Amino acid sequence: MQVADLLGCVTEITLFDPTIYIFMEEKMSLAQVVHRMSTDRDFAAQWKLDPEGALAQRGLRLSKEELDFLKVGLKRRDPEVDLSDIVKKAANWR
Amino acid sequence: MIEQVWRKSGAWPEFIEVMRLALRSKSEGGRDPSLWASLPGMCCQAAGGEAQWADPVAAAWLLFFAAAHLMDSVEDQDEPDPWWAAQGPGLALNAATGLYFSACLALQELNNLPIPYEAQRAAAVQVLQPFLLMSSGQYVDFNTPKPTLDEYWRIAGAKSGAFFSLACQAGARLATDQPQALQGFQQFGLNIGLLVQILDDLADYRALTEQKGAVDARGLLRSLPAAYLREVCTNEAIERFHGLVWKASENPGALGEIIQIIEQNGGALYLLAELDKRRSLALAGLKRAARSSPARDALVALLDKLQAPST
Repeated sequence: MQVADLLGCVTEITLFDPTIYIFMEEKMSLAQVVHRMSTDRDFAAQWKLDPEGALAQRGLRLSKEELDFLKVGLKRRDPEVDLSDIVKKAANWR
Repeated sequence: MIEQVWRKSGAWPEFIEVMRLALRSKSEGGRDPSLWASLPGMCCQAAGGEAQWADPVAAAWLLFFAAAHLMDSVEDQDEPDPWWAAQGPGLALNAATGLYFSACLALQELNNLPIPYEAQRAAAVQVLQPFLLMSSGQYVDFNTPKPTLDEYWRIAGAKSGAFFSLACQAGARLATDQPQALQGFQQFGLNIGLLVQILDDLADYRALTEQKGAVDARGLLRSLPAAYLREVCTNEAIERFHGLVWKASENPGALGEIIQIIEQNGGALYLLAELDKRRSLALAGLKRAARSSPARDALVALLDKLQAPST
């Protein structure tokens, strides 16, 4: 395989920039929503009753995966989210 | 395969031994990257090929990983591994150079595979092409000591995301040229890479949460929790956080307050949400890429080792 062959092949490949993919996601508001859930009692109360309404009222948008976690996944965990627990679990991954 | 590449290369035995030592160095947090070197073969198999077709890609990936880890250590002025502590960073860079060229030679072994030439060529390019993107990410990382949240994700995507994405996509490309499948493997690998990056960031917080060991202030300021705080907190809170991080090594009292700031502002919840989201996106990519099979199940099991489901 020669270098010229490799260079010739470049035009056949769809050059995918994963950073574009990241950017598209981050236009959504996960950080803002999580911050409000943690610091804004009114938002947190409204979130419990009507998450979609709480978001819409403030012009916030979440992806399907983010909404699924905050609506459903979070309920299956301990209510208090502890950084040291997360760090301990992270230490065990291989 | 790596030993075979070195034997055929004409490299001197003493230099091969140095490269061998470099290859054995663990990544940050003592993790062994050879687990991840199985990704190309697993993705090739899940895409309908034979796992061993991806051996050259796996060897190249592992060599590139070791080289990049060494370069990172030198750039970040980390504690040197024993084998280069005496001679200094020059030896580390010498070894990294050898590993990079060894990786290129390993990719030449694709020529010997019983698969179409176009697939061999395309897989080789898919390994090599992202490296300028990854180097760009490293350059920006180097020059951005306190990234915003957008900058954090952009850098993480270009570095770890792209690196794991190439392992998966190049392995799969040996078995298929279907765009939907390749994009699915790309998405799977990208999100695995981002999970690895988040978990590596969290390793920097062990000293804080266990209140022992040296605090890496520069690492903490580049981490996802710090970038998150910069996104959501007031300037005053951000400056306070930065000040505490710089003081943390000398002032144990600062450690508890750093953790408190992160937790009170939802930083821990944000980490959980991102970990879960990346897992979901990785799974979605895999489902798009390949039909249900033992090979696909093995990839899910690998993902579960990294991030167990929240449900």
